[in-house]
Amino acid sequence: MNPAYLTFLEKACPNASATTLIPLDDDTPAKFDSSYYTNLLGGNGALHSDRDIVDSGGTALDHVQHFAKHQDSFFDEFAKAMVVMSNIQPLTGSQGEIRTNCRFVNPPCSASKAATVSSSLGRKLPLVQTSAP
Amino acid sequence: MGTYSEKNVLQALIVLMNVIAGDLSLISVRPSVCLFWGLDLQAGGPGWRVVFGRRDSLTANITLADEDLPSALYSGSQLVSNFESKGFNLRQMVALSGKDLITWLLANNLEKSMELQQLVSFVHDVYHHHRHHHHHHLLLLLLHGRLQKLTHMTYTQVDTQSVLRVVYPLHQVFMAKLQMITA
Repeated sequence: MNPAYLTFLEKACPNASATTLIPLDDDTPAKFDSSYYTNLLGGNGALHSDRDIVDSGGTALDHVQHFAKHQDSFFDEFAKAMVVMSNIQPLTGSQGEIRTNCRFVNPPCSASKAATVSSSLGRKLPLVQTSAP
Repeated sequence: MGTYSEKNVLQALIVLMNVIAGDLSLISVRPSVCLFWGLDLQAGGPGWRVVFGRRDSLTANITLADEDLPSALYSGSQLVSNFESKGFNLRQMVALSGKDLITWLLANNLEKSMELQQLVSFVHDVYHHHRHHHHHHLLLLLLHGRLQKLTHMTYTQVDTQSVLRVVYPLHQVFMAKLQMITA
């Protein structure tokens, strides 16, 4: 780990319960680019598991080095991985329900018409209630 | 498949955020596979296939959710195994680690001064209330890096309005585009 980056982290997060947030890609947090990989290779990775991947070498390190050099390749692979993620066991059809409050399972049918809510493109986002914890 | 520009990725994320919010379940109640579009679909932009007609979980399972979440204490190889168990290959796992999406979304959509509260509230809401809610499991994995840090935080107050400020603008953009596409 880059000593200067370690000093930066220690200053930003002086204790374990700190709520300070730091960008994981320090250079360009607001831009979608591959600078995370160059940072990581330069010893400026905030997460232990990610630094471990670099330190351990092997195929994972090859990927990090590749994405650092080829941003297009990173974008392409990122998009593919997002699709894989979006297909992790989604409930469809008769499985599951449409929650009226997305933070909670619907109450029994007699107490709510939520489960039969019909399709409407103009429907507002199922808002969380401000009184909820 | 077109090229994946920064704009395309943003478009994909807008759709994903709405998948997460469960709104795509309103488009179709039948299980089907549709194109997961970028805004440039009509102009021949990139599209991806995902299962459509998503619905929310009937249960909440804290234990199972915790089992699936990557730990802050994982080694690199444990992290790889965790993602492999969800169908990601090594290359995809490395790619997903390449962007701190929450910070990126916030930096592009929200006032800097609100960032801390909104992020904490948003992740808190997902992590503590949507347990084993499949759409949100998706988000949890998406944000695995951020969660590694946040799951060790102490939460005292949650401003649920902050969650809305994150999700709702994305929702509005998405719905407007959707109506344009389906019109």
